[in-house]
Amino acid sequence: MAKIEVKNVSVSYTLHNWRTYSLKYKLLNFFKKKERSIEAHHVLKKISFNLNDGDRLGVLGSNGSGKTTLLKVLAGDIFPTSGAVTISGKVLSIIQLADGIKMDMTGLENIILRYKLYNYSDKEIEILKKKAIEFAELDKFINQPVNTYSSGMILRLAFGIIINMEPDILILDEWILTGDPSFSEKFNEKLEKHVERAKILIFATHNEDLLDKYTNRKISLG
Amino acid sequence: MKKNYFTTNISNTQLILNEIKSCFKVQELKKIHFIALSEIKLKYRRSIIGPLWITLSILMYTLGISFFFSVVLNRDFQEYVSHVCVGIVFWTFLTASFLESTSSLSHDLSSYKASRVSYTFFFLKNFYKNLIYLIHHSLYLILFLFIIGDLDLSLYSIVLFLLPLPIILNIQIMISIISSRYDDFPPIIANLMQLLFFTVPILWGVNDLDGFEIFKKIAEFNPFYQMLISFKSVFNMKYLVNLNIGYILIYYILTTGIAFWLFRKTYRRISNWS
Repeated sequence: MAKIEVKNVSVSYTLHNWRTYSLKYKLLNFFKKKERSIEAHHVLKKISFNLNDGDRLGVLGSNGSGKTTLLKVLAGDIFPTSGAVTISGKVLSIIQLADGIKMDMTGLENIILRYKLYNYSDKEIEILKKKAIEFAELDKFINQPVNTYSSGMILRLAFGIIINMEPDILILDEWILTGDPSFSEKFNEKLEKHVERAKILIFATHNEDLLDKYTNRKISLG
Repeated sequence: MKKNYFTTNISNTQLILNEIKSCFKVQELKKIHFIALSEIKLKYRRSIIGPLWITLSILMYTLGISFFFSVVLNRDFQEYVSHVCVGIVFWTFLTASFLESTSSLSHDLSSYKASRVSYTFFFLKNFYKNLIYLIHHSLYLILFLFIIGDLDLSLYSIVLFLLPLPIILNIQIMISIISSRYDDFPPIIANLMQLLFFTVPILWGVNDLDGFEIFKKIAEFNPFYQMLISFKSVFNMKYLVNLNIGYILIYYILTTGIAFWLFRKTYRRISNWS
C-alpha cells in the first residue's frame, strides 16, 4: 500500500548573494557583525495532507507559488525547513525529465546507468533497455554520446527510460510536451497509462482541464 | 526506483546512520563499483592505453624530478627514486581524491538527482574511484620497485595500505560539504594541495631536518607524512620505524568527529546548496 503523510511542512530558502557563497569573505569578516541583509524566502507555509491508494492530487498555483518545491519535497530532493514528510512506496518523480541524463555518455550507457541507480537487476535491465530503445526510436544513435543528440532526442531517451518503470507514487510537474507530432501521440498514450497505473499521483500544472481529467483532489498554493 | 520508505521525521544523526547502513549493502556496493568503473572508462574512452597513461606520466615525472633532485641534493639516484616514486603515487591519489571531492556534491548531486542517491553514496563512489587508480598505480609501483631492488612486501602490507584510508575518506567528506556551500573553496583546496606538496617529505626526507629538532617533530606530526609513511611501509618495511600509530589514531578520531559533526549540521541544507 502506498501512502504519503505531509504534516505542517514549511520550506524557506535563504536569499544568498555572492558574499554568502564566499568562504574567504566569511573568514575575513568573521568578527564583524552579521549582515542583516540575508533574507529568507518562505515558499511553503505549514502544508498538511495525507494521500492513500487511489488518491490523485492536483497541485494548483501561480508561478513561484511553490508547486515545484512541494514536489521536490515529496520526491525527497530537498528537505522541509520544518514539519515532516513520510512516504511509503516506490516513488518516481518527473520534475525535470532530462535530469540525470549524462551528456558525455552514450544513450545506451545512460539507460543502463539509470536502471542500475533505480536498483533493477541485470536481467531486468536487459529487458527494459530493449523497450527503452524501441520506445525512444533511437536505434542507430543509441551508441552515440548524448551531447550529439537534439533536444527532442534527449527527451525521447529520458522518457524511454522512465516509461517502463512501475512506480507506486508518480510525481509529475506539468504535462510533458514533445515537438514531434507522431512521437507526441505515442508519448501521450504511454504517459496516460503511466498515470493510470500509479497508486498515487501528484500532478502540478496550470492547466485546469488536465487537473479535472487526471486528479480527484486539489490543493492550491500561494 | 526511489526508496520504499522515507521519512524526514527523524534526527539528522539517524538519517546519516540510515544512509551509511544502506550504502554498505551488497546491492549498493555493486552500484558504487559499477558507477566508479563507468566514470573511469568514460574518462579514458579516447585513450588506447587507458589509465596506464597516468601511470606512465607519473613514472616520467618521477624519473625526471628524481634525476634533477638527486644531483642537486647529492643523493644516491636509486635510493632517491624509490623514495620519490612512492611519495608521488600517494600524493597523486590524495590530490585527485581531494580535488574530486570539491565537485562530488555540487556536480554529481545534480547529475544523479533524478535517482536520489544518498550523499554517502557519492562520498564512497568518489573515494572508491580514486582507490581503483591507487591500486592500479601500486601494482606498477611493485614492479618498478622490484626492478630497482627496493621491494620488501610483507603480510602487514595490506593493513598498512588500509590504515590511512579512513582519514582520507573523512577529509573528503569535509571538503565535499564545504565545497557545496562555498564557491571559492575548490580553488583554495587546489592551491593548498600544491603548497602542502612541499611541506610533506616527498622530495626531501625527515632526516634532512637532523639538527632542527622542532621542525623535525612538526614534520613527523604532519598527518600527510604519517599517511605517507604508512603507504611507503606497504612496499618496504624499513619505513615502519617512522610510523606513529598514536598519531594515526588521533587523526582518525579527529577527522571522524569533525566530518560527522559537519555532515550532521548541514545534512538537510546540502540539497539546497547543490
